[in-house]
Amino acid sequence: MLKLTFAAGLLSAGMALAQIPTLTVYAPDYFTSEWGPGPSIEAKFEETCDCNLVFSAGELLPRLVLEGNNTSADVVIGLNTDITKKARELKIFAPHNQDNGLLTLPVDWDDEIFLPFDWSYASFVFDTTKTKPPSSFEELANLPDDIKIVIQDPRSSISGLALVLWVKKIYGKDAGEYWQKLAPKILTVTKGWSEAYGLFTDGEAGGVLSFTTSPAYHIVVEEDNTKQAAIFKEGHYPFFELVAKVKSSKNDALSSMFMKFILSDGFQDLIPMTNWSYPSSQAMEKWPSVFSDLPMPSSTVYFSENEASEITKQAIEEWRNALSQ
Amino acid sequence: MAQRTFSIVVNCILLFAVFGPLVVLIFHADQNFTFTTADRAALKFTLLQATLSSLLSVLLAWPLALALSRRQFRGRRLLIVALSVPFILPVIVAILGLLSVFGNSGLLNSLLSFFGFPVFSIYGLSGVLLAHIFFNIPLATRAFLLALERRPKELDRLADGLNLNFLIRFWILDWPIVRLIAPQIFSLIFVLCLTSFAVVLTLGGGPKATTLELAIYQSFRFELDFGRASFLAFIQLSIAALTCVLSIIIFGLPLNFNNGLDRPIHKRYLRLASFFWDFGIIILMGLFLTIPLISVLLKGVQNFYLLEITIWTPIFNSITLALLSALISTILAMGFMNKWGEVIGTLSIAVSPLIIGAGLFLMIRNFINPFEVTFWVILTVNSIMGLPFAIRIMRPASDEIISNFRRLSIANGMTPFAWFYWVYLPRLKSALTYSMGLVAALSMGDLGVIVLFGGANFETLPLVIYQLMSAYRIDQAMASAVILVLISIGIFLIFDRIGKTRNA
Repeated sequence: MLKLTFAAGLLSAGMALAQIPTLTVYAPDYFTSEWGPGPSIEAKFEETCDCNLVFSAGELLPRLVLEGNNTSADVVIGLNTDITKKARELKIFAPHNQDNGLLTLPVDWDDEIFLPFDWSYASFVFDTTKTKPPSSFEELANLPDDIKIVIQDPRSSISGLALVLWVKKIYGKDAGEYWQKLAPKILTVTKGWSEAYGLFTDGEAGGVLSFTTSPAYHIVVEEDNTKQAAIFKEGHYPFFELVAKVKSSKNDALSSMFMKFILSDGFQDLIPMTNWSYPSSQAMEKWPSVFSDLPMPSSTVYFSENEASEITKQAIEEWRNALSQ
Repeated sequence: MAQRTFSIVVNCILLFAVFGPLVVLIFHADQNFTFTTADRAALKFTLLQATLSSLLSVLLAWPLALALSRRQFRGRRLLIVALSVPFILPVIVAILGLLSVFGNSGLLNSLLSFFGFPVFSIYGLSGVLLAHIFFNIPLATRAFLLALERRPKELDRLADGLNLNFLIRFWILDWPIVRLIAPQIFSLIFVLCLTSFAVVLTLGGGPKATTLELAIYQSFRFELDFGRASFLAFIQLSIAALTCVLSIIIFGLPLNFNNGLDRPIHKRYLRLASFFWDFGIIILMGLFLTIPLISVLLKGVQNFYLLEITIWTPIFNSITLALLSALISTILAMGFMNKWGEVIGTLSIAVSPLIIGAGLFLMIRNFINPFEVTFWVILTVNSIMGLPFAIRIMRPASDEIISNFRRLSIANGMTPFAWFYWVYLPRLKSALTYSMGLVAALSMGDLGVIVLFGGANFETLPLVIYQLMSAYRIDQAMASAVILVLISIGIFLIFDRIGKTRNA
C-alpha cells in the first residue's frame, strides 16, 4: 500500500513536471557553456517564471533556416547586428514588444524585432608591458616594428567584420589605402576571435582585435592589470548582441516574459561578469566598478543595417586585396 | 561471396552518406553556381599548398620510417606513439605548440636573436607547410613503417649477404613499398590539407592564404547561401576524387615480393655511416615533432589546478565516442579493402562537416529530430570520417595476407571462419590495432559536426576546449587539451600493446 502511494506520488510529481511549460532558447556555444552567461540566466529566470528554460546550443541562423517553420525555438539569443538584415529577411521573427526607450546604448535603437541584451566596442587590446596602447588608427599603423597585432578574418568572424566596417566608416574610399599601410603591422589573420586571443595571451603578438571590455576579465579573474584596450580618438564601432522572438513559437506568453526579463536588472546584472560586456539597459552607475572604470571611447561610429549590408562586400574586398599583396 | 556482398552493401551505404547530404543540400537551396575572382585565387592557393604539403610529408616520412625500421632503441615505441599526437590536437593548441618553437617569440627565434642573428617569421606559405608537415609526417611514417615491417625478413638477409649497395638496395627492396604506399598516403594527406582552413589562415599570415573551405564556411554561416556552399563543396569533392583516383589507380601498383617464411627479425649488421644517418634523422625529426608537443604538455600541466570536476562528463563522452567509432570504422573498413573503397572512403573527409551536418539534418528530419539524437549523429559522422584512415592502414596488409596465404589455405581445406581467425586476423593484427588507435584518437580530438548540432545536452572534450577558449580561459583550455592528449596516448598505447601480443 505504501508502495502504491509512493508510486502515485511519483506519478503526480512527474505530471506536475510535465505541466510546467518549456521555453526553448537557441544560443551559441560560448553562451550556454558553464563559463558563459547561460547557466546563471537560466537559474535566475526559472526562479520566477514557473517554467523550464532549455538552451539549445549550436549554429543559430543556419539551423533556423534548415528547420524553417518546424523549429522548436521560442527565442533566439546571441545574434549580431552586422548580419541582422539576412536574419530579418528570413521573416521568422516576431516583434519583441519591449520599450526601446529602456535601452542605454550609445546609439538610438528603433528596431522592433531585434533587442540588444549586451554590447561592447570593438577595440585593440594591448599588453602594456610591451607597448603603450596607440590612441588613433594612424598611431596603430606607426607602432614600433616589433609590435604586431592579430586580427580576425571578416569572412569567418563577426568581430573581424566589425573591424572592416569600422575602418570603412572612418576612411571611406581610402579604406583600402589604410589597410595597405596597416598590413605590415598585422602578424596574422585568424578564423575566429578565440584563435586570435589565444595568440595574444600566449605572447605571440603585442595586440589583438577584441573589445573595450576584454581587460575586465583579466582584472577580475587573473588580477592582471597589464591588458589595456586602446581608445582611438576617431571613435569606436559598437558591437551589439541581440535576442529575438520566433514567430512560430507556441509559448508566446512565456517568450514575452523572457523578453521582458532581458531588460530587467535580474538579467542585466549577470551580463558583465559572465559575458564580459556592458549591459544593454542599465545606467553606468549600476555596472560593477571594474566596468565603469574601464576607459570609454568618446564617440561612436556606426553603419545602419542597410548601409552595412550595402557596403560589406566591397569593404571586405578592399581588405582582402590590400592584405593579399 | 559473403565478403563481396558485405563490401557492396558497405560501399552503397557510404556513397549514400557522403553524397546524400551534399545532393540534398544542393536541391534544397536556390542553386548558386557563381565562382568569383576571390574563389579562383582561393582555389589556386588551396591546390598549391595541398600539393606541396602532401609531397613534403611523404618525402620526409620515408627516411624516418626507414631509419625507425632499421633501428631498435629504448623509447622507440613511445616515440612512434607520440608521433601520432599532433594529428589529434585541437587546431589552436597545435598552432600554439608550433609557435612556441617557430613563432615570433618562439624557441628558435630566441636562440637566433641571442646569438645575434636576424629573426625570421613563420607566417606565410612556409608556415602553412610547416604545420601540415607537422600534422601529417607521423601518419605517413606509420604507414611506411607498417609496410616495411611486413616485408619478408629474408630479403634483408639476402641483401646483406650479397652486400648490395645503397642504390640497388633501394631499387629492389624499398621502391616497391614506396610505390605502393606513397600514392595512398599522398592522396589522404592531400585531401586533409585541401579541407584545412583555420591552420592555413592563421599560419599563412593573411587572406592570401585562403582555402576554398573558408568560402564554404562563409557562404554557409554568414550568407546563408546553402546553394553556393554546396556548389563549392562539390568542387572540393571533385578535386579530392580526381586526386585519389589518379594517385591510387595509376601510381599505386601492388607489391611483387614473393612470400617469406613469415618469421621475426634477425640481427642486422649495419654500417657505421648508416648508423649516424639513421639516428641523425630520428633525432632531428623527433625533435621537430616532439618539442611543440612537449611545450603544449608543459603549458597544460602547470594549469591542471584550474580544471574543474565537471570535466569528467565530457571526458567520458569523448572516450565512449572514440572507442565506438574506432570499432565501427574498422569493421566497416573491412568491406572497403579495394581501390574503389579507398577512393569513396576518402571522399568522406573531403566534405566539410558543416555541409554533412546540414545535409544529414535535411535527410532525417522527417523521421527524427537530429538535435535529440546528437550522440548518434556524431558517432555516425566520426565513424565515416575514420574510414579513409582505417582503409589505408589495413588494405596493404590485407592484400598481402590474401595473396600470400589464401590459396594455401584453400588447398588445405580451411573453412572461411578458420581462415579468418587463424590466418587472416593474426597477421592483420598490428595494422588493425593501429587503425583502431588512430581512429579512436581522431574521434577524440574532432570538433566536427558538434558545432552545428549543439552541445547543451552533449559535450565532448574538444567542444569544452573550444568553449573555454571563447570564455577567455586559455590556460584552462590548454590544461584540458593536455588531458585530451594523455587520454589519446593512453588509448594508442593500449591498442599498440594488444597489437604486439601474439595469439597463436
